[in-house]
Amino acid sequence: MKKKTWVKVLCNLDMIVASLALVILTFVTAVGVFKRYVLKDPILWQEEVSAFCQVWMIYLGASVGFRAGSHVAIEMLVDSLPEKAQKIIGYIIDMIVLFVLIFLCVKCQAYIEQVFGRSARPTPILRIPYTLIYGISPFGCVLMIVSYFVSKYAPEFTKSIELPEKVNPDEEVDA
Amino acid sequence: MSLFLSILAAVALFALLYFVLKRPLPMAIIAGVVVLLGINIQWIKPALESVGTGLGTNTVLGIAAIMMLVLLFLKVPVFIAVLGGSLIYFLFNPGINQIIFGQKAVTGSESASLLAIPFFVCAGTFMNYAGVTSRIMTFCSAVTGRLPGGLAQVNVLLSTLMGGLSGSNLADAAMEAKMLVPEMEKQGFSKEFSSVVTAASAMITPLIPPGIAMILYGCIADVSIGKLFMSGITVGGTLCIAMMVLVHFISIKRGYKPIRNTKMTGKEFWDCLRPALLPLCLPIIIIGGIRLGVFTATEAGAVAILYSVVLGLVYRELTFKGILQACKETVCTTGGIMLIVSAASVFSWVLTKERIPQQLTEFIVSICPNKYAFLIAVNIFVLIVGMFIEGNATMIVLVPLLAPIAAQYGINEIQFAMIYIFNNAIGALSPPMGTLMFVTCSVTGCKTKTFIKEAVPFYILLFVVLMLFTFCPPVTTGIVQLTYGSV
Repeated sequence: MKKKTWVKVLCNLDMIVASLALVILTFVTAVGVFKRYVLKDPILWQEEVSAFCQVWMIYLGASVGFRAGSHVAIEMLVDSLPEKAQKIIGYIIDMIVLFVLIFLCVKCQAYIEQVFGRSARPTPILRIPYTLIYGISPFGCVLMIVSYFVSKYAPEFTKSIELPEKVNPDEEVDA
Repeated sequence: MSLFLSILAAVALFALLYFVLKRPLPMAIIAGVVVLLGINIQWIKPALESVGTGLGTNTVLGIAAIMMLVLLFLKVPVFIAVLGGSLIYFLFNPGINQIIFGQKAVTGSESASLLAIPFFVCAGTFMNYAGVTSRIMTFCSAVTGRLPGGLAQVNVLLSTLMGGLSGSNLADAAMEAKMLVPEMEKQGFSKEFSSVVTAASAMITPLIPPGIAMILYGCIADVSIGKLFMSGITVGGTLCIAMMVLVHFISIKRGYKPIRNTKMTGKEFWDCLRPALLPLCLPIIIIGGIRLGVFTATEAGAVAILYSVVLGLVYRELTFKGILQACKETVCTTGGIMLIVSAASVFSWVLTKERIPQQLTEFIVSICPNKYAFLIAVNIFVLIVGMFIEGNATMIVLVPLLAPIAAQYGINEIQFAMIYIFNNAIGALSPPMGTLMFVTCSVTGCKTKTFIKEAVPFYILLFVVLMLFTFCPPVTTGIVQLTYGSV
């Protein structure tokens, strides 16, 4: 039983880290308002932490989104085609998604290396390296690829993060 | 990236597909090759660029746009489709630094104002888990109980009030379809009518502050989010009243009964109002705080989250599990929205680079004689686009194109924003791709055909209201003028 929890935590690490980033963001922003408006003593490093958490939350959340099926997509046309055509189109889509994400990953990495990598510049106050802040985006792309294929072809792995109020627009009622 | 690493990545994906996911061998091999090529894009770059030079920039741009549209309809996630379109441009156009693709994608969604979106999404989900909904509903039925078609009126009013707490129309429609529609059917409302009222009234939610669409619009077009929120009060309020009037007449005609016939005593009313009082304060805190300059729209979101957590603790309904679930939902939803924003900022860069907005402005100004002709054209155009594609995604591409033209005609930016957002909201309700319609119908089990037939009076109403916003600027800008002193 204990091992199972471990596996679960490990499989959903992106979601846990992203949620953590969200919680930190909320607290820092809310406390920031209080300190600035009531105590007249603004938090100087607020912006740096916000940027950090925001980027991490978005790129990890996108990966979770693939597994939870929460990415907006237009299903109607494909779902009305015959099954065989759907299958072929499915493979083509896989390759397109893969190529786009790989390209995105490589270019994000190139951008980060060119702008922040060589100078190794950290943020002014907390001295967080920018490569750490933005480094999550190429990594997030890799996670997205894995999440995409796993959720599409082995949905039983992703059960644990199924959203309870998941609304499915493609569930056509007219049958 | 070195060759060795790229081969490693390709083999890793091949192994994942072939051995773990048991995909056919050809697919796994092709996937590996795609990875190899994607990482070592310099191998095919000269060939692609010579093709691109042969075609010319305009053709490449056209192919990119077509590619994006085709992908959108192929069940590809929207952000992949938008990136895919831009990618064509970056691949085939010689002399474009491909690093810009990465730069825009990384930094596109990173702005303090956009942070308001996850915050308000999160606040909305917390509200759901904090047990606020049932309290607001009791209050609504106390207010509208004696009107004909009691529960239908509750439905409309509940959407409006919940709009001030969350901002997601889909969540609102799903919640009401689950909670209210069975109750309505029990009281003699037809299933179609109940579904239509639920879906149509859910349309009000994005127009009431804090609506996600307003935040997004404010960020893209650089309009004050506080002013948009303020304007949303009248826009959402007008729509709410208009719908309640329509429901009133339909109910009289069909004999839908009020919830009760006796007048409520003051004490009874107070008993219904008291539990709803705290949640109803939140919109006032948000708008008041922004107007008085205590916090920005983004910070208002963080305050709203804390407020809803406190409410949940006061009501003793928010469990630790509920908090975790709300975080999960927020992370998934915002990851999706913000990546669309990132992808669209790549695409907007392409458009700006090719001076498309300027060319479009010149073209439109030359064919549209005055601002009303332009507004009508925009209404038709945005409505049709909204019927097919999700509103927030198109907004990021279309608003930077349309807003400057509107400014050219001297149309007030707040009014134009509200017209745009309203059109998007209608698109969510109308066939063939109305997400609100599908969500409501899938929960209630209503057939889409009968739904559309029943919705006709509502479509007419929405059209009338749209015309009111278009031709009568004070409806949208009046309250901003009053509270801010200028628009």
